[in-house]
Order: sequence, then C-alpha cells, then structure tokens
Amino acid sequence: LFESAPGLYLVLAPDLTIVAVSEAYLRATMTKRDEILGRRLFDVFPDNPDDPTATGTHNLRTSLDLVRRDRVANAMAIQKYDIRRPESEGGGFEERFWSPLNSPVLNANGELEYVIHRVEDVTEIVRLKQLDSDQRRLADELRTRAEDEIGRFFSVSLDLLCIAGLDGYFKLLNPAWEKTLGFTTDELVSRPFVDFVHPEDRSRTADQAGKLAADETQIVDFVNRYLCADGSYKWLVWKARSAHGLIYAAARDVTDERLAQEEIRHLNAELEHRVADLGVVNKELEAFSYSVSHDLRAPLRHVTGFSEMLEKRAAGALDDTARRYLSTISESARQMGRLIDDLLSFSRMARAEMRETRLDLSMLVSEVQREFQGRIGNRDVVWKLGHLPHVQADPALLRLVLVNLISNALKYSGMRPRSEIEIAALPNGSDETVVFVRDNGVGFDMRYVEKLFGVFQRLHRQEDFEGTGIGLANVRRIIQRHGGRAWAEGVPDAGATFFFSLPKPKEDQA
Amino acid sequence: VTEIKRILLAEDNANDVELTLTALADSNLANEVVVARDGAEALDYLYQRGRYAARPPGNPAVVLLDLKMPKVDGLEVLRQVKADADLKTIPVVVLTSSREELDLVRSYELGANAYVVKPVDFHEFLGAIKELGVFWAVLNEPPPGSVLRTPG
Repeated sequence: LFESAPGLYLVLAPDLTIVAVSEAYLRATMTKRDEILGRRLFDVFPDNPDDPTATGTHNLRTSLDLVRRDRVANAMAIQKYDIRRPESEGGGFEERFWSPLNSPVLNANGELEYVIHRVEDVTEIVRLKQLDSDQRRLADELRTRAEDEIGRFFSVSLDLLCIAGLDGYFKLLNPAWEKTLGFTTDELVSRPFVDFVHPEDRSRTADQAGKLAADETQIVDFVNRYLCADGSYKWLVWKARSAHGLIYAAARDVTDERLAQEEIRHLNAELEHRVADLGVVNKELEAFSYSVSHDLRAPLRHVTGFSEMLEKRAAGALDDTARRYLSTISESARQMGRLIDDLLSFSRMARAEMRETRLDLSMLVSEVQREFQGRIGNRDVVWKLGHLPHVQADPALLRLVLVNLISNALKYSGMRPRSEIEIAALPNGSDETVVFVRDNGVGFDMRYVEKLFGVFQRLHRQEDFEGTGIGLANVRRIIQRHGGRAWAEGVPDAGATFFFSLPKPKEDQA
Repeated sequence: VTEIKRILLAEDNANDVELTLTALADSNLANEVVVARDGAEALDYLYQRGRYAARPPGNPAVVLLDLKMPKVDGLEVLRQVKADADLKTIPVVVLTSSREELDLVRSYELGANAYVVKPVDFHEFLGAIKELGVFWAVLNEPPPGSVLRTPG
C-alpha cells in the first residue's frame, strides 16, 4: 500500500539505509527498487560531479542530522539536487529541484526507528519561475539599454529636446538648452516655461500648449522666441506632441536663418525704395530731357535764324570781320544744337527699351561696313573682317555701337595714305564674346584712356577731328546695358583698338 | 472767284512766329496766315468763337501746330480737332522743337498728318517751312469746306 501511495516517499533507517520507497519516488528519481533498497542514501544519490556549486547532499545531510538528533520533523527549503540519469537513457545528471520534508518515526520508547523523507518534485515550477525572471531580466536590460541610447541621443542632440508637464513646467531638458539659452537646467525647470517666451509670443505659445494638453496631437513649424541669459532672444522652431499627460518637444535654433531672412527682407525693402527713387529720378530726367529738347533748341533756332536774317538784310553794310562774327554766331549755335541732340540721344539710349534677339554679327558688320564704303568716296581703305559669331543683342543698339566704332576708325585714320580697319572677335572665351575694331590711325595715350568713354570728353581738338564726344559714351552705355564691357587700347600715332564684350547666351556657353 | 487757302499757325513764341512768317513769305506763298498765340486761341479760331466769333467761315487748309503752348497745349488742340466731325479732315502738321519720341508717337496716335522737328539751322528751317507750305497749302487738295471764297 505504501509503495503505491501517490506521494514521493523514501523510508530510511537511522543509519540512512534505504528501507522502503514509493513507486512515485522511483519514477521521479529514475531508479529501480531492487537497485536502491538496502543501500546508503548518499551512495544512491550523490551530488552532480559536473556542478561544483552543488549543495544537495550537504543540505540533506544537515537536515537528516537535525531530525536524528532532535527527533522532530525538518522542512527544507527548495533544493537543487540533480539526479543521475541511467546509462540506458544517456547517462549524466539531470537538473532537478525538490521540496523535501524529513520526519522522524519513533518507537514506543521514543527512540528513532525510521526517517521518512518526503519530497515534491518542483523542477517544473522552478524552471517556469526561472524562465519568467530571465525574461524579466532580459526585458529590463533591453529597456535599460534603450533608455541609455535615448539618453545618449538626448544628450548629444543639437536640437533642444524637452519633456514638459501640462502644469507648464519643463520636466526634462537636454544639454542643448543650457548651451543655446545660457540658463542652467535648474533655472529652466524652476519657472513656468512660458516665462522664458518673448512677451509678444506668449499668448500664441500658450495656445499651442493648450492644444497639446487638450488632446494627443502634434504641432509642427511653430515658431517663437526664447529668452537667453544675456537678455537676447533666440528664434526657435518647434515640433511637439503630447502623450500620457506630457508634452514631448524638439526645438531648433533658427535665429541665424531668421536674422539672415530679416536682413534680406530689409535689403529688399531698401532696394525697392531705391528703385522707386530711381523711377522718380528717371521721370525727372525725362522731364528734364524734354525741356532741354524743346526749350533750349528754340532760342538756338532764333539765334541762327535772326543772325541769318540780319546778314541778309545788312550784308552790304557789313565788312568782312562783321560777317565773320555773324557766321561764327551761327556756327556756334549749330554746334550747340548738335551737343543738345547728342545729349538727348545719350539720355534716350539709357531709357530705350531693349529687344534682344539672336544676331548674326558678321552680317551686321558687313552691312554697316558697306554703308560707310559708299560714303568714303575714293579714300583708300583696307577692310579686314574676321569671322564673327552670333550674339544676343538689340539689333538697333548694337548697330549704333558698330556705326560709332567704325566711324571713329575711319575718322582717326583719315590722314593715313591707306586706312586699315580690322573687325574681328577674340579667340573663344567661355562666357562672353569679345569683338574688336582696330585702326591704324592717330591712336592715343593710354594715360587718357578713361576719358575716351566720358560724355563730351575728347582727346583731340575740334579743329583736328570734328565731333561732340558722345559716340564712345553711347558705345559704353549700350554695351553695359547688354551686360558687357567696353574698353580701348592705343599707342600715340600707332592706331587704336576698341573692344566690347557681350555675355554669351546660356545655351552657347562652353 | 479767287481761292485763297488760309493757314492757321498756332505758336506761342514770338521769335518762332516771326521766323515762320518770314519763311512762308520767302516761299512766295500768297496764303493768309492766321496766328494763334496759344492753344485756346487756336480752338477759338477753329470753332469761330471768342475774338474769332465774327471771322469769315470755313476751315483753314492746314494747321501748323506747336506742341508746347500756354493754356491749352498742342496735343490737346490736336485731340479736339481730330475728335470733331467738322474739323477732323483739316490737315494738322505738328511743328515743334521736341524730338521726344513720346511726343511723336502721341501726335500720330491722335491723328497728326505730319510731324516736323524745327531745325536749328535757319537754312534748313526755311527749307522745311517752304516744303510744308507748298505741300499742304498749295499741292494738297484740301477737303471740301476748307476753301474760303472771297468776292472778287
């Protein structure tokens, strides 16, 4: 009956010889009755030699000793006590956990007769518990590691990261805050965060915080100003969301961008102002040109008209000197008329609307050259026309440039028995076309080169070369309006070369 | 019956008036020249009102019109003439010192028949006036109604 009891029982003699065992015990310990009966307990169940920390035999012996000495039952704590696996099942030891209770059986004289060793196999329970705690430990470790990582990112972020409570205080701030604003974290968490917001931005900021508090939502691209320890303000752009009663927010310092934008806005406003001013000045200039055109020419006409009429009427009464005076008066008035006309054309040049198109410069040059050829009579002129590219320019204005330059070349080489005029382009530049007009005329001293392009600036006496001195000023102005440059090189008595450049259209650039 | 083609000269500057009259006389044109010294006077003449209320009827053969005049300027005179059914057929020659393109464009837009810049040079001026006078007052066949029949 004992043997078939459901519990795990082992009956030991006082000398720890196994005298009886239940079937359940045999199954649990993978032993057979005839193999263990009559043998000493610790011979049958030694410690696992592979487990240096095994305490099973030691603890059991201690407990049994107590029972044998005191003759009272002894309940042991859960023990790890590995069980030898039969050779038939692979040998070695199997890990087992037990909950043992050792009870004395006394005879009528109160002497120890047997010790009943009852155990419960709690291996499964211990294993489950162990598994559970392993998992917990693993989860804890992962969480710790994740927190460490977040913490590291939190501390290295250039952005200002924070967690704020719905009570309006910062709860957690990363070091970027101290760096950006100059306040210590302690200072920042000691006052409601809105205290640090620029007074003008406070109500907007409170609105946004309220929105976050109201429900779990997200806010992006909100911008406000935060106070710095030095009293200045930083522009921050925010991204924030709320969860679990906290506001998680990241802010970026955009003060520099903001200032740059402000500067650009400021410059633009100033530019617009200047343009408006320029418009006014232009209008004034137009009015001025108009009155020059109309009001200055009229008295000139009168001077010439009346001096002619005087000459006609009084010619007989005047001597040669008086007639010369009259003709000088007329001639001066005519010269002044030319100056006025040139001045007006120069001012018109600056205002004329430009219509840029793609032009065949070779064709334009030969057209202008043929025109001049017809006018120079029997002068001996050698034309050298090099290859000229297509350019982007206003046809009428560019024609005026060529007329001016070619007319100058002819004029200032007029004293040569044979004029040589070369018109060509410099070898390919990458972003501009450079054209030159070269003559073998009187040339000029490079010291005065800048005077050449001034309005009414001349390097020669009127008697030597006629002209008002507006031509090259017009050339430079037209070329500048096309985005190019005009310049000259010369040697006294050895000819001059006039250059102008025109930017190449984008698609033509090498 | 003699037909005399009348010329209306609208010009405020006395010197220009004298030069123009001299030039016209030089051209041996027999036309009567009426001088209006500002735009308002020119319109009075054309509409036969004010001091011209009692003038003989009929439109001038041509109006020589300066642009820059006191009271009513030349462009305004031109605008009114060309907007009036009875006057719009009168040839109007803008005769001005202004080389401004804007004036030229506006003048033609308003219906000017010609635009002449007064040359500074007197010989050129004489030539220009002579040509103008001969063309508009002699060669050009004026529209009906612009001919003044004088008894004789």
